[in-house]
Amino acid sequence: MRRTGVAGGIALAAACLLLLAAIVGPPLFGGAAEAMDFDAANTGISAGHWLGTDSLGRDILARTLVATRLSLGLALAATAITLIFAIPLGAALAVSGPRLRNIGGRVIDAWLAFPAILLAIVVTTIIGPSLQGAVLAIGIAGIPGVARLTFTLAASAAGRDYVQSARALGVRPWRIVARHVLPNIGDTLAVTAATSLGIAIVSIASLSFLGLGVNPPLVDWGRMLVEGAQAIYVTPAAALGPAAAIALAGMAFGFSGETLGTMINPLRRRARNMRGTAIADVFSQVTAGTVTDDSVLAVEQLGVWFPDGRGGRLSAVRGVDLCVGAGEIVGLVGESGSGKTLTALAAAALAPYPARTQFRKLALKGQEFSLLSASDRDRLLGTGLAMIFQDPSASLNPALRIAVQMTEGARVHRHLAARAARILALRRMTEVQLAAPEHRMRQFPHELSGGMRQRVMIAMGLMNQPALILADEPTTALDVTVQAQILQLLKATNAAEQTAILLISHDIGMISQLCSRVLVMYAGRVVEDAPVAALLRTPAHPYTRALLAALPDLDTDRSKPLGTIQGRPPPLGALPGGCSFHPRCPSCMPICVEREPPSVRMADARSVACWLAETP
Amino acid sequence: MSELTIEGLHVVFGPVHALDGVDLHVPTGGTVGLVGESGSGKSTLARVIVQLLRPTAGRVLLDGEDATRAQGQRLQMLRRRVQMVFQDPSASLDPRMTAAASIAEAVTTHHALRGAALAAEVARLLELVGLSDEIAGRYPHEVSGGQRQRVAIARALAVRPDILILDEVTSALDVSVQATILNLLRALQARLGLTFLFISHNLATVRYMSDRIAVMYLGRIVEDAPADAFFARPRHPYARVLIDAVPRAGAPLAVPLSIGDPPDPRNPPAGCRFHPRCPIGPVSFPERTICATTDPQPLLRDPLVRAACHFANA
Amino acid sequence: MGPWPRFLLRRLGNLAAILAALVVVSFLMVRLIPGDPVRRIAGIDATVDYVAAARVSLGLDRSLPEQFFSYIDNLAHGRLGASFVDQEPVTQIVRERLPFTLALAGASLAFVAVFGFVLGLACAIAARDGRRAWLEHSFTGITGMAGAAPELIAAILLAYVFAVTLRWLPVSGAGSTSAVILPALAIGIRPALNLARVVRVEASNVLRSDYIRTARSKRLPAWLIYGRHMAPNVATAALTIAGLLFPFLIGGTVVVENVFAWPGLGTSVVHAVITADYPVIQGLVLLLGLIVVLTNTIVDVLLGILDPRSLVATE
Repeated sequence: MRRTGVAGGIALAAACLLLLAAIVGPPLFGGAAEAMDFDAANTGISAGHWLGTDSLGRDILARTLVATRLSLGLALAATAITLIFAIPLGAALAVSGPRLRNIGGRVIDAWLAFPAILLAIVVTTIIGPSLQGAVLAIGIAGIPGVARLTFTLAASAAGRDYVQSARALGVRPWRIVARHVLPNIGDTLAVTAATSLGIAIVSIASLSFLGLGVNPPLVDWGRMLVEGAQAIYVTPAAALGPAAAIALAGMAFGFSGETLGTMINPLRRRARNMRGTAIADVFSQVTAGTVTDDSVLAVEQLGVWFPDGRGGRLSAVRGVDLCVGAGEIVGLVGESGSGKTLTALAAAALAPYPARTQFRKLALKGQEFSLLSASDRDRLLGTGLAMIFQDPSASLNPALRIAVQMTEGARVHRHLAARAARILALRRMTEVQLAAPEHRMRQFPHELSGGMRQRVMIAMGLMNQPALILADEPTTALDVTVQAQILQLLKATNAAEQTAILLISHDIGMISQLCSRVLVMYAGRVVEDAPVAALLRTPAHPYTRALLAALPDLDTDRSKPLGTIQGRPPPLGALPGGCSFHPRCPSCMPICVEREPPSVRMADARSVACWLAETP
Repeated sequence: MSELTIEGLHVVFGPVHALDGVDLHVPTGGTVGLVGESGSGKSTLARVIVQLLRPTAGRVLLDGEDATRAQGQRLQMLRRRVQMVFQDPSASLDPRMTAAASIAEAVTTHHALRGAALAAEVARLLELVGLSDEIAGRYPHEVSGGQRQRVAIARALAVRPDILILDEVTSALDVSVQATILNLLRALQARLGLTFLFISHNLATVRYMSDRIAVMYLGRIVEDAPADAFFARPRHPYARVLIDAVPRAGAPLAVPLSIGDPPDPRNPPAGCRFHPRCPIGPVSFPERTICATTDPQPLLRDPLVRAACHFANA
Repeated sequence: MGPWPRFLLRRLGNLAAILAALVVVSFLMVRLIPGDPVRRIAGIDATVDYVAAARVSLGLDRSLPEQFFSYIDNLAHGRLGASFVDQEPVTQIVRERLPFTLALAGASLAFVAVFGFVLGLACAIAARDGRRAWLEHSFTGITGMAGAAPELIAAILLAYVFAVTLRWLPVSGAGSTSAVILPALAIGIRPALNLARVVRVEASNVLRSDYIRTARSKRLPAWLIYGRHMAPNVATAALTIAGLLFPFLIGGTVVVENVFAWPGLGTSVVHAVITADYPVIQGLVLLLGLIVVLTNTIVDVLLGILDPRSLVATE
């Protein structure tokens, strides 16, 4: 019961109270509900009658409580009808052949389109206004919605790899459904069942109100409302009593549903805040001092941290120095969790909320961010920096044509007219080897292949002739031959226009083919910064060494096992003291456990953050 | 011990020929690496072999025995011989079952074990894949990617198969973890005498793991050669392009830009399917019109190598 | 424009199929009544002759196929029969009352669309990336109370507060234009809150998407990002939901019209059921069903214009 939350707990309690009232209401309050007292007819709220009396002097509160049984009972019956037919229908459709699925789906959609009221009218016409009619009508009206939901859930569950894996193992179909499909959709079904109950309560009350449901002498909340509505000018409590009951019941069961779902499947709620022990920032003491004045991107002591929800900080990037010279291609290598993407985003002033960025220096084309106004900085970044992200299928807006997405940057920042921007866009698209650019301009992203979309991203980035391209895993989601072409494109752009490139990837092979210099990141810090040939020949940092040994290339000795790094990268907020790599380092020394090594400049334009490097 | 043979396999989904006549042989205890890009059909092939898909035509033979359209009890027996490890362990393990429960389910599907005997078998499997006991009670989201994949491997090994289909098993893992899994797989193969079909888009990894390499393109195998011969002298131009596309330090980027994008499987080109993108085809050599009209058959170039190209060995 | 002809053909095909089903259902409704419908209609004390005459006038003396064909024939000529109670032609009832129902449905739809969409968007933008968590929580809480405001309850509550207590607005009839306000609100509150909730969730998801990140990386001004990049993607989801809600709005009019004595089709159809006035029930069920189906088709077409992907997705 831990994860239900206050609101959920209240809702469940309310629902239980309602069920209780349904059971004990008539025996306990039946008498009071029927006791007529003509002297006290139509009185408002008073001490003796908390909700007043009706035209026959009967206590409204008692009548409301007694009517709970009928209102709830009928709703339960209707919901039962709905669930008994809808769930098997939806599940059966999900596992049947495509033709049946198609037809079944269309029938359900058409059925779903009809208001419950119309269905109710049809049913009550045939059967006559009665409570059976109301239950049947609402029960039938609820079927398509639940069937559709079950269908969608079951179909997606059946497609999951764990179901396929169970099938491949030979697990029996009934066991697959019972053990793998139902538990994983059961929570949503429970929510739906409870919500349906809430809706059924209201719907049946509405039918009774209209005279199409419960008829006298039986009384449910809906029937009470008929009288109450007439008396509303005189004794509003007569209407408000049953109205409040209906509303409360609807809400209670609706909210309980969500709570029930969470109880069945605790994984429903993912923790939103990152939890972890707060640690103090550790910045390196000494800088490598590789920042020069003619650099395109100059970053000194960049740090990115998140508030951990308890007043402390979780540092994702610490003390990073980064410099990209004009026309240079620099690589940033690291595994997941190393902080490489955040570093790039922070350098582009795009770190997502609630990340906080701090730095000693952050400058593009020699202009410091901290000295610029927001609009000047936007213009600088809009024209000087282009970003290319990993997944081209998600990075282009699916609702807009290519033309708009290509031209808007130039129109906003360089105030180009529409025609001029269009001509420029066509030229850029030709440069990136996109066939039939005029045709492409009119198309939407989903009409292009992955490789074409990434080319559009590059062309889009080049519209304003940026000084720097920041490419974050630009080819990870692409096929190998397409990847090669994209890399070739980047290289050609660099050669032709002297555009600097900061290439971020986990693929050292790709980095080494394209870049002149490489930075290796681990646990939020740059652990090595070297020209690519030197890095590959004589890696200075033990992590770099281990990483290179773990990656097979076309010349790896096939008779030996691959080098591995024991352990795992540390989670954010739980960094080991001293050097973050020390628990996994084969060359760990006592000092490594105690103090974090500073980044030290070595000969031949390298720097490394390792105590081993200090010792000559 | 089992060798795997595939003969003339066809799988058709509406207008798409996902597999269009695939012949492949994996010798007992060996590893064949299967390489291809999107639309090549390699995942479809994997699913047919483990009976998750029915082929439209062709046969799958285990040790010479036709396993293709098995049903019921016979299918269940065959499942014990071939198993698959999927790409993404976060998706292939039921998020609501502990590691021990997932592995136990695999065990009990084929062996009637219970209680202490079952627990002992689960423990044995965990140890086989290098996991400590404490992983047994954990849920998938509580362990790392590498550990999840090990649990998936243990699950596949629980039925004691002879043949394992490994479908991109390291693609969803971090670089440093990939090496551990690859080492584990090789050790298991040596220890248990397993036959592997290793599917991947990463040519360097495939080279490390495989004795033979088979390249797929649009539902066909276009080259099939021993690993050393494949990398030293690829016969098919597509194989050549794939090898050139592997990034190498200091090497120039060698993939011709005319290679274009992977094709749409619904509209395969006439004649040789690769001809519109082929660096030695009619685009570069207009006189080679045969490529646009005639579909090349895989010929045995030398006793060990098959390549489907009119101008192979160019 | 390749996918459009196929799409439209499918939609029209759907429309025709559902219409056919509607006609059949409305026809069978009366014939499915257990027992002898004529006796029921004529009443317990009717004489044999009266019953026989009623049978003929209802056309129930002929065979089922004959009845069906004459029904279709009548429909094709726009003849919907006449009320048993006062012999008023059904088409006359429709002509008098349909405009009122449409006006009410339209007013509530406008309210739902504006309120739901604007509110949802505003909250999503204000609370993006987890800013102002309190805003998101209270918004979710308030919209969750939508379950507490079904048309019936909302109608009664609004009637009580604004008409009875405050006397700002009329509570019954359609005397002045302001008379539409309370009924429209009553119908619209629950769908509006539900729509706002969905819009907020959709808009939040859109704001977290990669393509918004791309737009931000281009340093476009905020209004351009929200207006050009976010809105169309949210509109698709919002329109889908709004389209799904429209049948409920029609259903809501039936209930609310009865509370506020609004002279629309809702009051007629309920009255007809209670008085067993079968021709009226038949005609109005057919008509209301037709309105719902037409609206769905229009929404589908609008969605196709807005999101070209949905044209292909339905294949």
